[in-house]
Amino acid sequence: MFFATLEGLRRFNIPHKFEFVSIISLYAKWLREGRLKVDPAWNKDGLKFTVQDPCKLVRQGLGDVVAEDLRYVIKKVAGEENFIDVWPRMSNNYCCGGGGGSLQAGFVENRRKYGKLKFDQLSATGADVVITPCHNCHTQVIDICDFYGGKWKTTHLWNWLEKALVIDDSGVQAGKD
Amino acid sequence: MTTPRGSVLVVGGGIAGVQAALDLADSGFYVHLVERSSAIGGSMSQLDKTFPTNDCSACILSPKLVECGRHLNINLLTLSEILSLSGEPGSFKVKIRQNPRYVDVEKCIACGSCAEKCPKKVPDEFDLGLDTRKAIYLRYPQAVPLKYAIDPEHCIYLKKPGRCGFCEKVCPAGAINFKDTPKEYELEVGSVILALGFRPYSPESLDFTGYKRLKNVVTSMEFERVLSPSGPCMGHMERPSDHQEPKRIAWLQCIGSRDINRACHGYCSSICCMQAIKQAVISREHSASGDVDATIFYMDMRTYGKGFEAYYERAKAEGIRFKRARVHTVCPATGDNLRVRYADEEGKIREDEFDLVVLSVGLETDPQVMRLLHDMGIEVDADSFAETTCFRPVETSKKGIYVCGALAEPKDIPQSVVEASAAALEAERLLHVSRWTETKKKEFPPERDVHAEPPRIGVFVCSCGINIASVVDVQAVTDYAWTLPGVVFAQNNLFTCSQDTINQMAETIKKERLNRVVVASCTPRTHEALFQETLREAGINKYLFEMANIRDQDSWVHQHDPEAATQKAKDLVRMAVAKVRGDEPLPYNSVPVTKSALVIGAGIAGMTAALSLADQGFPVTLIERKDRLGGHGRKFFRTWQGQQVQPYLDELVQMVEANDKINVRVKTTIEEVSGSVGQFKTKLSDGTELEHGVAIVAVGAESYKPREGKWNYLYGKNPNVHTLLELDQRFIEDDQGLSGLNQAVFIHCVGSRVPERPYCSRVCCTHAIDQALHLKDLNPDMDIFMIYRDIRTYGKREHLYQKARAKGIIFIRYDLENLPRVSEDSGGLKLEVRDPIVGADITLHPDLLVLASAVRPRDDVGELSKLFKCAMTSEGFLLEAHMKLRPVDFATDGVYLAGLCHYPKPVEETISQAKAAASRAGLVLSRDAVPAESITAQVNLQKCTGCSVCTQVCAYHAVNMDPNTGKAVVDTGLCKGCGACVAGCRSDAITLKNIGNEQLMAAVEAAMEDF
Repeated sequence: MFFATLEGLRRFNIPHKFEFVSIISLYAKWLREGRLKVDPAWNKDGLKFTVQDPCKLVRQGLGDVVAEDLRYVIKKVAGEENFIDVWPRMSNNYCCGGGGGSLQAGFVENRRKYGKLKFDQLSATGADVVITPCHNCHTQVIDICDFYGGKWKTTHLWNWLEKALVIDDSGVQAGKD
Repeated sequence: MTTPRGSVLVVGGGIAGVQAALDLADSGFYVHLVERSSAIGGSMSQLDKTFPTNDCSACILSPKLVECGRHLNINLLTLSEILSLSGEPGSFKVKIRQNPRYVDVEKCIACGSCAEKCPKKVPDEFDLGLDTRKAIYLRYPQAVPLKYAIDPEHCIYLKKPGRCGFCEKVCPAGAINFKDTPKEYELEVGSVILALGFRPYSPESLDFTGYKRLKNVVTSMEFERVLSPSGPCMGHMERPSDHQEPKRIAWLQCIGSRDINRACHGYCSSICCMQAIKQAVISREHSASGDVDATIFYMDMRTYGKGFEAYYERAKAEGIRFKRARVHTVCPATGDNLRVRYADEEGKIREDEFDLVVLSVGLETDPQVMRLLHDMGIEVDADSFAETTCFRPVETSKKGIYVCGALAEPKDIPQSVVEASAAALEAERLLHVSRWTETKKKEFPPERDVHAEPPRIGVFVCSCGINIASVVDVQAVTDYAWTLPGVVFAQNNLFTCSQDTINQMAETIKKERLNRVVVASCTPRTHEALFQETLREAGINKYLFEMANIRDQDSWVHQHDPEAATQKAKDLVRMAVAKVRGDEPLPYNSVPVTKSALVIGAGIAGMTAALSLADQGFPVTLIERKDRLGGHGRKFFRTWQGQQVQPYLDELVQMVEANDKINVRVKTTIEEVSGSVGQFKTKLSDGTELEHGVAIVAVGAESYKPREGKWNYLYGKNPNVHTLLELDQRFIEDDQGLSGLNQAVFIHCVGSRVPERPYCSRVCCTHAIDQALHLKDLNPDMDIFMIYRDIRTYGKREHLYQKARAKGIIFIRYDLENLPRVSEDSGGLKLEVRDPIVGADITLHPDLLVLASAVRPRDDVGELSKLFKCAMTSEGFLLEAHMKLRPVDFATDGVYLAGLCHYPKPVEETISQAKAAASRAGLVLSRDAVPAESITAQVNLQKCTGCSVCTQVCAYHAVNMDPNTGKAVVDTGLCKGCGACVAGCRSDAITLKNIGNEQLMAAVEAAMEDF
C-alpha cells in the first residue's frame, strides 16, 4: 500500500498535500528530539542485531534516509556496539527473495533458492536478531532461517523499542508531553 | 578597442595553465599565472606514470614547471585567488588576493628543517590524505616554487601566538614570517585564460563501492599516489590496511561517470580506461615478484587515442584480465580482502576475491571553481563544464576569456596541452599589436673566459627521488667522482632539477670557480637545457657541460642488479668527466627569421591555422593539392553538437580568400624543401620558390573504403551500403528518400581495431550515433540497429549515446570472432549477427547499411614527412615530438602538425590543434631571430681535399664548396650538428665542436680504464 501509493503519486506526478513518512523515521525523530527515551541497558547479554532493508521501503521507496533512521533507532535501542551492518546495505541491499507475491504464489523451491543469498548475507553478520520492518520480508526471512538452519530471531522493530523504553517514576514515559 | 594590453592572466597552474603561460611568455606577452595552492603542477604532478608512453609524470612535467618558475615574463602568484574581474577584451581589470605563505620566498632554501621540527601533523592533501604532512610543508618534492608554506588552518603558533614557533627557531635562513598578511593586487591584462582543471569524483556517496568503509578500497587518484615514488609508500606498492603488497587488484570503471542514476554524471570522463590499464601495467612493474593478478571491470573499453589501442592490446597479451561487467557490490572478505560480485558475459553470477580494489573515479568541476565561473559570468553546461562549441573550442561565453583543459570537458594531458596552446593563440590574436610591449628581456652575466684555466670540474649526482637512489649507491658514486682528475667538487642531490638545487648549483659554480660541470642524472633529452642555462646564469659558457645518464640508461634498466648499476654509474661519470675536460666554450648562434609561414593542406585544419597566423599580421602561403579549399570537411554534415559543417566551411573559405595576408595556391604540392627553422626554402610544383620561417603540415587523411576483403559487407556491390561520409552526403543534399526507410543498420569498427589497422578511429562511434539520431528525426518509426564492439562516445558525447538508447536504437555487440554476415536476399539486404545478450543469432533486413569505416592516413604522407624530416608512426600517421607534452610540434624545429594527418579526430579537436600549431609557430614568427645550433661542423682547411662528399651527404644544405678556395665551408646557421659530413669526410677534415675525436676518444679511453 505504502509503496504503491507513493510510487503512483511520483510516477504520474499527482499533486497531493500530504507527506509519506515511515513510522521508523518518526521513531528516529522523536528519539532525536528527546520526546521518546530509550536505554540499551536491558541488553546486558549483548544480543547482536542486524537489519534487512525492505526494497519497497528503502531502495524503491524513501531511499537511504529511512535506512539511516532505521539503523539509528536500532543502535539507540540495542546499543551502538551491538549493531552489525550487512554487506551490501541500505539502497544497495539484496532483495529478501520473497517479494512480488512470490510468498503466496507457490514455487517454494525457487523462492528459497533466491533467498539463499539473503540467508548467507545475514548469517555472515553472526547476529542474534534480524530486524525486518516489512511484513513480507519478515515472513521470508523467518522461512529461510528455518529452512537453511539459521540461528537468529526475526522480528519487527517495535518489539525491542518497547524493551528499551525508559518509564519515569510516575509510570509515564519520560519526556512525553 | 584602443591599444590592448600586452599581458595575459592565466588562472590555474596545472599542465594546461603552464603550457598556455609558456606559449604566451615565449611569444612576446607578459603573463600573470594564478594558482590556488602553494605550488604549480596541478593534477599531473600527482600522477605516477603517464599513458601511453609510461613516462614518469613528474619527470616530463618538472622541466616545464621549472621553466615557468624561472621565466622572466611569467609572474607566478601562488596561494592566490581571483576576487573580481571587470573590463572588456583588450583591457580587463582583475583583483587578486594572495594569501600569506608565512615563509619569505626570497629567503627559504627549502632545507626542510622547519617541517622536521614542526610538531603538528595533518592529512596531506597532495597524497589525498593517505599520508600526513606537517603544518609547515612543501606541496611535493619537485614543487615550483620550491618554498615551504605554513598552513594557517593547522599552525599552532598562528592559532595561539606564543605557543610553539619551533620553525622560526630552527630556520637557518630566517625565512619564517608569522606576521605575513594577505596581499591584494589589481592587475590590468588584455585577456584571460581559464585553466582551472578538475577534481576527482569522490565516491563516498556510492555505498556499493565500500569506499571509506573498507580500508582496501582506494580511488584511482589515491592509487597514483600509492605507486608514486614521492607518495606515501615511497613507490613500494602497498595496500592501506596492512602495508602488504597486494597480489590481486581489481579496477572498477565508470565510478562517477556514465552514471545518471546515483552519481548524476552522465558524461564519460574520457581518461579512466587508459588510466586503469596503465595502473594495471605499472602495478606489475612495481610488484617485487611481478605476478600481480590485475582485473579491470568495465562497460566499454575506451582506448580511442593515439597509441591507446596498441597499449590495450599489449596489456591483454601480458595477461591483464578485462571483464565486461558492472560490479554490484564490493564486500569485505577474510583478512581485509574484498569480495566482488558481478554477472559475467554469459549472465552467470560470479564472485572473485581481491586484495585491493581501485575505483576509477571520474572528473568533475570543483564547486569553488563553479562559483568563480558564475561570478565572472562564464556560462557552464548541464555537466558543470565551461560551455564551448565545436567551432569555437577554446572560447567561453565571454569575449576575451578563453578556456583550456579539463574545465571545458574531461580530457587527457595531450588534448589539454593542445587546447592550452590554442587558448594562448586566441589571446595572441586578440593582443598581437601589443606584443613585446610589457615583456622583460633576459640578460645573462658576461661569460668568464676559461680558456687559460686548468679544468675545475664539478660533479652533481642526482638521486631522482628514488628513481636512481633505490638502485644506484649515489653516495658511492659521489665519493668516486671526487677521486677523478680535474674534479674539485662533487655533491649528491635528491632532485637536481628542483629549483633550490639549481640555484645552489649556480652559486657553487661561482664559489668554487668551476669551469666544467657534469650532472649525473635522468636524461639529457628532458633536462640538458635546464642545466645548461644554469651554467650561463653562473657566468660560464653553457657548452662546458656534460650529462651522465644514470637513470634512463642505468637505474631503470638494471633494477635487479644494484651493484653492477652502481659500477656502471661510476663508469658513466668517469666518461663524462673525461669528455667535459676537453670541451670548449662555443659561440651562441642565431638564425634570422623569415616572418612568414607555409601551411600545407587547405582543409579545416590548414585554413584555421592560416587565419590564426594571418590575423596576427604574419603572411601565410596556403597550398592545396586539389582544386578547391575545404578538404575532408566538405564531406561532413554536422558536428556532434548539431552545428552544420558546410555553412561554417563556406564562411571559413571566404575568410581565407578575403584575407590579404594569405596567399592561396590550389592544385599545388611541394617538390623540395631545404633550410631549417626560421629560414626554410621550399620549391612548389608550380615552379615557384618560397622562403618561409615555419611550416604547418595539415594534409589530412582519408576515409577507408572497404571495396573488398573481410570488411567489405557488400560495399560497392549493393547500392544501399554506404560509408558514414556517403550518408552524410545524402544528409547534406537533404535526400528525401531517407525518411521512407524502415530499417537502418550501422556496423562499427569497419577496418579499425583490426590486425591490418590496429588503431581506433576515434570519431566513428559518435558520428554513427549522431547519424542514427538524425535518421530517427527524419522517421521516428525507423528501426535502427548499431552493431558495435565498444561504444566510445567519450566526454560529453556520451549524452548522444544515452539519447540514442532512449529513442529505442538497439545496440548489439560483436567481436572479431563473430563478425556480422551480410548477404543479398531476394533483392534486399540480409544481416546476421550473434547477439551476446540474447545468446542467439539475429537476422535483420536493413534498407540501409552504414559502415563506420576507418580513418586512414594518406599514402603519400610518407613522402612529405621525408621532405620535412618528420617522423611517422607504424600506422602511417605523422609523429609529434612528444606524445604527451609536445602534441603539435615535430621533432624538426619550426615544423608543426594539425588535423587528421596526426590522428583521427573530430572537427573541434582539429580546430584546437590547428590553433595550437599556429601558436607554436608564433613562437618563431614573433622573433627576429631564433637560436641556432652551436655544435656545428668545422672544416680543417689544411686537410680538406675539396672532394665535395660532405656537400652531398648534408641533409640541411649547410655545407658548400667555396669557389675561391675549392674547399668546403659550413653555413653555421643551417648546420644542425648531425655529423653526417664528419662521418662522410675521407680526409678527417671535418669535426664537430665538442664532439670531436679529442673529446670522444677521451671518453672512450676512460670507459676502458678499468679493463
